[in-house]
Amino acid sequence: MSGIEDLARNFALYINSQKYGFKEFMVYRAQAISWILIQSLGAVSTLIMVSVIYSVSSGVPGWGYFQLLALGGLVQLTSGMISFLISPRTLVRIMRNGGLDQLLLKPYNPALMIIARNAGIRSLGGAVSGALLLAYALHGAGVGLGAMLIFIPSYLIGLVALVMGVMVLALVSYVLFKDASYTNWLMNIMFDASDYPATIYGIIGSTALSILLPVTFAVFFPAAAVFGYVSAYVVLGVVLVCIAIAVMFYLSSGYLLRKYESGGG
Amino acid sequence: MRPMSMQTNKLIKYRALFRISFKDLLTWGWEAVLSSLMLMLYAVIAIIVWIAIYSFTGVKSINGVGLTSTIIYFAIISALMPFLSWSNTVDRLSSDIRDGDIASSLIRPMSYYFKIFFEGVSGSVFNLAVSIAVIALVIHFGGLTPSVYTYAMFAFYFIIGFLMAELLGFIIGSLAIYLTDIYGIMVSINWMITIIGGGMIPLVFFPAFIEKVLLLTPFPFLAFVPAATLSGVISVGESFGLAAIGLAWLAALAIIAYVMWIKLKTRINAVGI
Repeated sequence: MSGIEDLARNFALYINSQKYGFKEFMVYRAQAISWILIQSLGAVSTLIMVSVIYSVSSGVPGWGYFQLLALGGLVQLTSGMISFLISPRTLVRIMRNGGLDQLLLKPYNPALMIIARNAGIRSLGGAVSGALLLAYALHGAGVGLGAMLIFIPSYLIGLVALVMGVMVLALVSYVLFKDASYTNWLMNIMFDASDYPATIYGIIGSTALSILLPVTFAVFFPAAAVFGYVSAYVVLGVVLVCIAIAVMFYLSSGYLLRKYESGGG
Repeated sequence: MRPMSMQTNKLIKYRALFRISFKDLLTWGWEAVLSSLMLMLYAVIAIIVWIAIYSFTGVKSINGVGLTSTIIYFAIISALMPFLSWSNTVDRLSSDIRDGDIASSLIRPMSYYFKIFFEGVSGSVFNLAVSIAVIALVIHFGGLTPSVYTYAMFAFYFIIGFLMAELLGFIIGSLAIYLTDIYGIMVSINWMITIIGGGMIPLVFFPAFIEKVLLLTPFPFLAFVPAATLSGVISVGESFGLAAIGLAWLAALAIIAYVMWIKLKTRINAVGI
């Protein structure tokens, strides 16, 4: 089977599993709508927080109102996408109960199977509200098409690196603790911290937000690039680092998956 | 049996429940410490953000609150958050309802509400030790010299906040009988405590009208009011003026929890939901 055919087959599986997941989510319609509204509270809280900050002060060093709002919107979008694509707590719970036994026997990519199986459809509300906030802020900041052409690819590559990073962190949590509650918690704290430019946390904070999980690569650098706070060379460097991280994490996830204990445990 | 010995008997039962839960908690002592530290991290983020804002803006105070007071305020918030954590009550009650364990708990010779309250209090006592230690450090290193009245008002709001958190936990947990998933409501309440309760922004930074409206809600009593009282962000006089609102909300939440409990009892079954 050629590489393209294989890719198309895996892609079709992913799309079908998402369609199924969405229909399952919509069975309890009232609950689904309430979930979408609840998930959008993150974007509302970002809007309130940033508005209060700029109403009483000059704001965060170097960043204007719409710029900080865009960063917050991007964090909400990313956090929603990550929750949609992979939840460490759910993944480890499935693994602990032996839930990957059948999954790994299927003739599809194991990493994709895990992502397809873990889909948190309800988190899409957070991603959509984050995207709306981001669009509003980018419009308010007067961002042009040229900047968007740099922003979109750098963000998508950063997001891939982040998804693979979260998967590796979840698998490490499984191998070491057989539990990922704290991993989820830590991830949420890192997203909360990323609502503000990484530069305010100093070298230690920024490094933690980049190494523990590549959150700054997915959020801070693309936002800084779109507003011209980093040069084209830095953007290129970040993209290359993200590609390297994604490949490294992908290979690591394959290795860590071999530590999975069939039948639970 | 005489009424007095009946009361003593009840107390012995609840004390035993508390002791068992506390020992259970100590078995996973590091996990409890880790949870407290994680909850404190949110306040640490707020402190770093506000330091950056004050430094960049170059002002000595924002709406009458200086940087030092803001740092002390969030340091106190970081101490309060683990203590005022209400999710244990929610988890316990909702899982009992879902699994049907609540039915067997009701035939025991003790109040179900006090049972989960005393089981939950063991965690709060553990967190109280962490909270007191952090607050003592904040007072010492922050150079605070609170008056006896300030201490008294802080202790009052500390207790009010704790009882409110427990009642909120009970009310939200009770909703498990109607909803298949109460996680969303927990997220919303956490959001309210964080944003409109003063967890990330001291309410004095909001426009005056909005601040006044928010102070009429119960959420500031879980974060802003106790922290602002001790840090001096609001004066003892202002703090005293809020006592009636706090007590009124406490009474209202107690009534809502009681009504929920009465309704809950009629729908409970042994096979869960």
